[in-house]
Amino acid sequence: MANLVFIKGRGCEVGTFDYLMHGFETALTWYNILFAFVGVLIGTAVGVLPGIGPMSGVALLIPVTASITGGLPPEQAATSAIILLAGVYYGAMYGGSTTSILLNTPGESSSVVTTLDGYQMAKKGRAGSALSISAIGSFVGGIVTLIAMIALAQPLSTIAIKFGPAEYFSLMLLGLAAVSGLAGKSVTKALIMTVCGLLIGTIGIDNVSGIARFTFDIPWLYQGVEFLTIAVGLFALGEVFKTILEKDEDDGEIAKINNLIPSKEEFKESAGPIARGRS
Amino acid sequence: MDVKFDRFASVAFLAVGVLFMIGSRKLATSSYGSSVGPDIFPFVLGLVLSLLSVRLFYEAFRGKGQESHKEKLQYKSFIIILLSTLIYILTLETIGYVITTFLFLFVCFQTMERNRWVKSLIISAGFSGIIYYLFVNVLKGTLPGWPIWFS
Repeated sequence: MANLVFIKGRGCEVGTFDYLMHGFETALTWYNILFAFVGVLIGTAVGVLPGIGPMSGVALLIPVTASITGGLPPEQAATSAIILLAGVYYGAMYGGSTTSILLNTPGESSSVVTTLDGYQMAKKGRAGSALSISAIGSFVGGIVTLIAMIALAQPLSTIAIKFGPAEYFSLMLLGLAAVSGLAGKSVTKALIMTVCGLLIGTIGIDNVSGIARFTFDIPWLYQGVEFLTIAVGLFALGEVFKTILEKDEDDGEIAKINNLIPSKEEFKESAGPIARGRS
Repeated sequence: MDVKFDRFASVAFLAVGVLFMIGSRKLATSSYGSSVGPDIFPFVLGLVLSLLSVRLFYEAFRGKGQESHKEKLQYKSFIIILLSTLIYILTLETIGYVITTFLFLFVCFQTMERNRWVKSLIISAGFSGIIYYLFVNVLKGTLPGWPIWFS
């Protein structure tokens, strides 16, 4: 802890590397690896529940981590608890994609896109491959992002400071235009849904002026409509109602997880998306 | 998607867009002396939405054909589940989680699959009980567990 004072005085190039190695040393002790494993396991289980994403998962599991790491001396217990929570975070990130693939229900906002092709794969009986591809993608993405963050944090931070409102606005516009352009056959319908989403976004207190818009004095609406609520409502309820409405008399086959290891062709097909999607 | 539905949807979206425009007129038109107030954004979006729905109506009017091939939909079970979901949402806070979830799951299981009384009873009771125990006792969360007149 006393080393933190040094960082102000000298250039932190050497210091960063030292700290990194020290971090690896701590993280690779056997009980910390065990804690990381337990964390990822619990996190995956929590992430599977729709509506409990990484953030709320970590918040919920704080008492559990405190009791699990209770046997260690205080300083190590704190480190191990943080490691466990980091494991929970990553596990929940991955767990969300499980429901996206198997049930067409995103567990949190980050795995909405997984529903688009993951569920299609599960329908064709390739749920196992979809799950493992998502796991591999998650792992590769995590590692690459970590390395990139260690190497590029300093230069990127200078760019991030220059990234002002105008840049954010253009980025949003690009995103909305791309989504409307890529979605489905009818551009008109895609644009209508984009505008609908933006209109739902205006509900609540305006960030700039602090004036409540379209709340009709209902206190729950003041903080706006949350994205996750809409995502789960649209995907999960839509899927449930669709299943009920179009229920066949003969029971449709359940998506079986028969082959966890993706075939070579599937690896080849997914290598590109994994490499591109790592950020 | 059949044309009839498109026509209906376009009229509905037109109504939503116009209502948003009317609603945004009631908001303040400026903030801190700037001419861009909180009303601009919803107003413009409502305008865009109504223009787009007019376009959708036009497209649906032109593009005929595309016969709708509807399967027979099971409206009865759909309405039962929709109603029970609404009742579940409305009674969750007063009657509490355990009883409402048990009844909701039981009704849903029975509408989806008849004649397995014992099995659906056990599953719905076990599910609501175990989830309540996990959330409240293990994870130390807060849930309205039992009816308010109990405690």
